[in-house]
Amino acid sequence: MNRAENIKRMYEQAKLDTITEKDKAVLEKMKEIYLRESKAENNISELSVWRIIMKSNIIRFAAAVVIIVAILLTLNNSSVDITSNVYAEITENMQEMPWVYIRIIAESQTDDEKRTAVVDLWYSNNEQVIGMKDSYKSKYSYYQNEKKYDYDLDTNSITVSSIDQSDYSNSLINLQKGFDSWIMQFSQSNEGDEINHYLGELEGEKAEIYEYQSEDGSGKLYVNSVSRLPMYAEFNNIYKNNLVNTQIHFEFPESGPRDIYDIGVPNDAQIIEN
Amino acid sequence: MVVKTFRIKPGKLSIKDVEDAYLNQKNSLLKFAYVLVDNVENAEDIVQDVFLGFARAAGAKENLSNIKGYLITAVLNKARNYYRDNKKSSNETLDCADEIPSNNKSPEQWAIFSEQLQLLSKAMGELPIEQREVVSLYMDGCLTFKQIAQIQEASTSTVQGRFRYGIEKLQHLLRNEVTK
Repeated sequence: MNRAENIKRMYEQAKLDTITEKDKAVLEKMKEIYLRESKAENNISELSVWRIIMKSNIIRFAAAVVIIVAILLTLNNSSVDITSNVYAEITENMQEMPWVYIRIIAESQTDDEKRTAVVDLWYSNNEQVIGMKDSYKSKYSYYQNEKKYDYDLDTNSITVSSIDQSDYSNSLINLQKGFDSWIMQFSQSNEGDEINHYLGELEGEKAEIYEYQSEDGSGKLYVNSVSRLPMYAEFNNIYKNNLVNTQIHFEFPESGPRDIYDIGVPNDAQIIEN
Repeated sequence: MVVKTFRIKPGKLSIKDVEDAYLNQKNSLLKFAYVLVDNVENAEDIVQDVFLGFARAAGAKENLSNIKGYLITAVLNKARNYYRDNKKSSNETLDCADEIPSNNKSPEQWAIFSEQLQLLSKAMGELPIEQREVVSLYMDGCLTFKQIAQIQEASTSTVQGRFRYGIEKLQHLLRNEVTK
């Protein structure tokens, strides 16, 4: 055995013990700090950023689609029929997809701080599943099995509760109501906005781009020219004097998450039957 | 020695992840800090500060994909601050037996270090700081020379040279211990 290995062996064999009481004290302090920071982060970063897209009563997974509607509605200013047709076509195409995956990234920039919130959404009309994940909680609602799973990061636990199968269609109805109310608000406040519609490319695929500029902000939506499905949307708005940038990525996979673990919940999370 | 692994976990850490990291890493970090600074109280303070900072970062949802790497780097940085603020006197030797900490724990004491570890730490204290860092990281078994070179902002051959000289000196200082 060479010299280095001798020294290393001595280091490895050298014992060290810790005092249990002190361990407990340090661990308690760590937990206290973790929870305090976690709450502050949730309060500041998530809520303030998300309020801008969540202020209506629409369920969360609809938020991304609602923003598309906002853009399309802006086009209403120039031609109601065309916009309605585009909106109907896109939403109909989305409903036919086995799975829809949407990632929403919202960034709020102030003079001295940048805050980011990320939400992942999955839903499937075929499977009747809605999944949602952000940085501190995950939800997986499996309507066919009438079970809902809520994961809490702080306690590393999954609460299982019952849901009614019909709630899925209720969710869709609520979504439609949300669209309508949003459309009305938007159409009243954005009259005269500048709108462009042109052809372009996104990641090598041909896209139709809908772009608007208004006093309140700007937005851009990419729709796949062939499939007529949304690809990507981006918005810049001023909210409480802060610039908020929202990016929405769309994917339409053949399959989606089979359970809450598939959306990133740790396997060792404690199960709580409610 | 328990094999230490780099834990790769996408996304944010739960409170249980934080607790696990503490339970799994505290002893090796205390040992690592102790051989770096050769002072029980300062080693304990450094490791405690590092864990509290870790809990703060995890609570703020920072992406801590490499927990072990984060903790080791944090200890190293705090140890460097310690060197800067507490330059050691150059006339300390292994013969200063009265400076070796006692195992009679004080009320505030966190860790109990074995006699063997105390001797090793005392010998490490004889090495220049750069050599001490390289040897400590090597003994902790978590980084390659290339990775250590990145941390020290030096070439790999320089780091290997520091390691060789450091080991030679330690071998000399601990000649009666390493052959036991």
